[in-house]
Amino acid sequence: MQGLGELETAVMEVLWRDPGPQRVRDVLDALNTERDLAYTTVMTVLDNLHRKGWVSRERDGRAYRYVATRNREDAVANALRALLDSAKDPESVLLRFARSVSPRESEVLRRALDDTAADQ
Amino acid sequence: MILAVALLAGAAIVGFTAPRFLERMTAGQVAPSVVIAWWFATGLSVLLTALSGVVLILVPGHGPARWLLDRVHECWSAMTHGSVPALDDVLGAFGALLIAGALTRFGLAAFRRRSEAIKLHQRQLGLLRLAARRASGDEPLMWLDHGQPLAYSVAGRPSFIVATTGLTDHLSDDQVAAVLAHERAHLRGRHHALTGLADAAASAMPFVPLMRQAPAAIRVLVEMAADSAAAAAHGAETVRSALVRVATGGSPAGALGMADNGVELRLSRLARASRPRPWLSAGALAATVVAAPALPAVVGIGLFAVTSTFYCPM
Repeated sequence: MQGLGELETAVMEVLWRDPGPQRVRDVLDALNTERDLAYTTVMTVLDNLHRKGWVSRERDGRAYRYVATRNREDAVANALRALLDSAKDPESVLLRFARSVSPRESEVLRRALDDTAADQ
Repeated sequence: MILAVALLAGAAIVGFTAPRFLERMTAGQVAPSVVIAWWFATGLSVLLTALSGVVLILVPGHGPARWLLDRVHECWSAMTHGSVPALDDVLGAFGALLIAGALTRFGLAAFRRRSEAIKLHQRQLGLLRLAARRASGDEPLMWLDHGQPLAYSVAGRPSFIVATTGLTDHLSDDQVAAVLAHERAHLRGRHHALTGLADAAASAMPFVPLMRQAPAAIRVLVEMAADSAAAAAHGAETVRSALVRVATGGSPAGALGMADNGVELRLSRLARASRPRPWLSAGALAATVVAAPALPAVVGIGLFAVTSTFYCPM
């Protein structure tokens, strides 16, 4: 699963908040309560999201109306799964605090900890 | 020729035997940062010494011909009744080719690894925007809603730490703070870059054990270094107990065993943790800077000095 850019996330949040089909103008107005974006910027972002399969669109007169293809919960769950998978990757470029070990190994570890705790 | 062969022999000996000593240092009490410094200094000096040896073979007569070496040379000539013609050239060309190939591979591997890291960083950020809550404050910390205790760090711009709510569920506040201190130490110590360098060295010269074993060894060592940074702030026992909880926290067995994690080594080191002695570490680090670069040359020349005095006393 591919993640989203900062602006893409903001646009998706707007579409998730109001699940009905929305025009570029509607999304722009919702976003511009906090920022100052150009119409063409939002149009480009929605176009990219359509290409990536995050939104579907239907023609309405001269403009398109956009709808999110999956709901927020599914998107978050998928992203979470992808992140957890990446953290398991042994060749990963990220550094983990500890990798999980097998039950047998974890038994050995617990015993080692008990032994040294008893020594002290 | 003698000096060149001595340098090449020294580089080979150190390249093949050093890992055993470095592993002993890792299992012992030596500060992890010192062992890391040794590992990289030794690797670099093996490469440079071999390079000097090859240059000396290819450019004879321009090397520093000292009295002792002249004597050794005479001795060597007396011992060998005429050498195989053009052996120098063959040896030199072979060595030059080997080193040029290794340097090229190193560059390519470092480049590949860096673009992989950038791609991963981008991908992580994209997914985290959807799945994570950003911690309040300036700290680059992202929280994931997941039961399994997990924490990792990603280098890049910006660098950040990812932790799961399972961490706060399974661990005490002190332990969580220790885990986060551990991850911060990774970012501050540029540990991702160190493992990347080791990876590149290994793919450049897999035929040298010192290089081949570096990635696994450096991974354990940077974990140890981060552990001791966390232990300095939150106590060794806190880090130890957090490590056991996270390592055994749910989830079925991964492909990696304990030896790969170094969890066992890290636990025993934390158990033995004595009070940090900064002057000792500083002294050891200074010794590394002086000793490691000279090691292959000293070993090689020493070997020839000993052999020649044994065979033909001056």
